[in-house]
Amino acid sequence: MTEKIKTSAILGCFLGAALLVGACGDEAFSTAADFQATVTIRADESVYDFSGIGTYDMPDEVFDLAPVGTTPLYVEHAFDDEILEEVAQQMASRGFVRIDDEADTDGAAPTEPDVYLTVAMVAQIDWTYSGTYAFGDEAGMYVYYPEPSVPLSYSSDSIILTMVDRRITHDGETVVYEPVWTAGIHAALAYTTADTVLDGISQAFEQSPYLQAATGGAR
Amino acid sequence: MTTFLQRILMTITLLLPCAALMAQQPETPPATAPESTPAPATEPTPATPEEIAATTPETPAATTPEETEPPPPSTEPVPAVEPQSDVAPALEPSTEPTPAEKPTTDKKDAPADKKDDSEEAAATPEKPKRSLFVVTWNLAAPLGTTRTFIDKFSFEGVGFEYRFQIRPDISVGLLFAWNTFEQEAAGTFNYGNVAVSGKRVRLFDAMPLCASFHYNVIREGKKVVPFVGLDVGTMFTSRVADFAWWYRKKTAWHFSFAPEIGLRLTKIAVPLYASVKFNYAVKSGDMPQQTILNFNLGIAWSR
Repeated sequence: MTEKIKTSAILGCFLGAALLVGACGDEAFSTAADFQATVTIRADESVYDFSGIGTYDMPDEVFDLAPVGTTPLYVEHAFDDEILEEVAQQMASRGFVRIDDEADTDGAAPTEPDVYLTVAMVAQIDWTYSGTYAFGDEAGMYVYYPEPSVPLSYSSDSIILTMVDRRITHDGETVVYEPVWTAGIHAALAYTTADTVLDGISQAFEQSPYLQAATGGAR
Repeated sequence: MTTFLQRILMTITLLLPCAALMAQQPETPPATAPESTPAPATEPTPATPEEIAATTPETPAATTPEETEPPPPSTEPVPAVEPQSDVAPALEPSTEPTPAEKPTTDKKDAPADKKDDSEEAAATPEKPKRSLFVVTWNLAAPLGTTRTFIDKFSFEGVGFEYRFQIRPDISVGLLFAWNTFEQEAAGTFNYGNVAVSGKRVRLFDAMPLCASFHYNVIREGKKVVPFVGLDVGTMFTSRVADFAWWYRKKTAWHFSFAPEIGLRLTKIAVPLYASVKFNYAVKSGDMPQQTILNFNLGIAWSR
């Protein structure tokens, strides 16, 4: 009988400890708000001077971000206008001037912007921040995302803002730009309304105080 | 993703059968042993036939031929001296207690029987218990640079240790322990050229794998066995900054040591173990030194 009591007590201790440990644990990410995150990556200060940016151009379209040569997943573009408007407002509030390098200004040569800013939505199951991606059609733009110092991955529906300096390109047959600034708003559309996306865009600029237009606009 | 909780529960689940098996190992010979063997040498019986006669004057059994022969003193059964056994001895030789006799002696001699059992065990050559198995629930407080990364007390930890006594007061062993720390925060966090805003969970795991040396201040066999010890070996550490869709991880192996002080309660149904241990892991690569104060509670089996 004593042995049974002893065995029961020991088992009870184990189970009690297990329950106690279990009571302490919970899932760190469970609600929609937990999954909302904004990540920004900037070019190294020693390599690129953001104060040289004064003008920019931005396509009037939210691209699908998917590997070149593949069919993008279907993603909902219900808030494209609001997204593009929010980005334009944020850039304007920091003194950047939007110009269209294809605009015909009474026969004069088009003014080239300092940077291009594209807005895209991840149209694949998961996008790892690495590799070369195309924006637009055949006449579009290629961007090479270098391997970051930390692993970054984005689920579908994430919004990716990419800023490239037209003067920084990779050698090769095709002109490939390298981003000087990117912002990722994670899976914002997967859970809620445009507000979440717009808040994420606002947060991306807020945590990038170095994005401030230079008065001269020269690099 | 497998959480620490799931890992702990799985480990404990795997250990349960082992614990049950170890707990069920009888520490004394089986209860049937005395019945199948001659009367024990420790029976409190008179040493001589004269003494038997003196203590049982009305018992006919005391005068039977078998009884009058000088038997080995140590094999004389108790019932021969019991007043209630006046019927049974007439039926059977008094040297073999009958089932009918036993109940009559149970009430009166119950404590004596229990004592006899333990004395039997003492008389039986017992294997020395030189192995000690320890399973503990490890609570932990981060200190120093560990605290700068994460400053939340940890309730999630477990330790397994085996010790072998090389002397009654000294043991050497091997231990593996695991403590995990977790802390949540929200805001914007900078990692070089990367800035992340949102909910962040910081995780810190410390897993020492060490040789252990312990000195029992009071030797084994006492109810309370206080001890001091020192663990020397390695500690694997892992730091993770985890966001919903992004994480940063850094790991390292350290040289570590951990002085310990504690005690064991050995003479109770569940042998308890409690100790306080200061873990120090030296700097390794770009991972700074780690300091953790453990409060360990658990059970310890001697075998």
